[in-house]
Amino acid sequence: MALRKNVAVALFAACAIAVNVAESYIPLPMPGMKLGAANVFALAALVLYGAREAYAVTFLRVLLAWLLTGNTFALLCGGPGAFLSVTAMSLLHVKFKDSFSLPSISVVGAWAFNIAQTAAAALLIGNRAVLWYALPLLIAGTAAGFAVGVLASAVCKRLAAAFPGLMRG
Amino acid sequence: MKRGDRVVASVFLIIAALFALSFAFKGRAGGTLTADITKDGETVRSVRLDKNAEPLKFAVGDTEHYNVIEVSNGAVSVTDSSCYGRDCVKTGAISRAGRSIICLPNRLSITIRGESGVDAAAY
Repeated sequence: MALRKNVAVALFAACAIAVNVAESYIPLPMPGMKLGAANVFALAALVLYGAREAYAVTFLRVLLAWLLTGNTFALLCGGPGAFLSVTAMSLLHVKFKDSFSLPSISVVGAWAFNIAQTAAAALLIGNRAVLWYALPLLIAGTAAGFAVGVLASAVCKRLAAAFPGLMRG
Repeated sequence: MKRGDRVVASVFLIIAALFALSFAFKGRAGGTLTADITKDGETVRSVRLDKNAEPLKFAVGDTEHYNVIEVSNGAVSVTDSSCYGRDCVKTGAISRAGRSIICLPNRLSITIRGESGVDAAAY
């Protein structure tokens, strides 16, 4: 049922935006570093529905979070990051579902985000030295990505148990 | 652990090793340090970081998009900025080779380099 799916995507996107904006108030040691908890909802959309829905949730989240916070530089770096991240996670989930657990898929998504994010920042500043920021970001991204992946698999299990109709789309 | 998970874990070990190596190289900086200040990809000013030199304070940019940079005691910091978020100010003072301060909105970066070629290779 298409309507049910659309409503779920909108709900996931709304949750992701709320988490994204709340998260922007948590101070972290490095610019560009973040928890990425909003990715729980992109992962849930990917597992419960599919790649198209994961893209929809992410695109809505990035666009609306930008409108809410007005942080254009977060958009210019995080936008390409989010796009590459969803692409990597969808690819792994759709093509190699049997050999990757959800936390691993989430970690690879975090890496893709960090790499695109630093590349965008280096392009914006015009200084290749910025690329070295990728290393500490990748370390933090691994930890955050793993935690987000564990959280996402728990969320998926409970959503599927609480709303059995959800899976049928 | 599934097969793909082991691949992810291996890649992480490589990243962690690279991270550790980058620290090992950075610590070995000797000689005089220089802070290169670049804006829009071009070096606008290079300042020697001499512990005994007179403190230095100057602005980079125009009246709308500016960063105030202070050099004192062999360290460099951004003390004021016109940008959103002010991550550059929050970074604080840096004094070791390979460290950098970045202001994305103003497209400014400050990178410290040492005299030896090792630092150029590591950073």
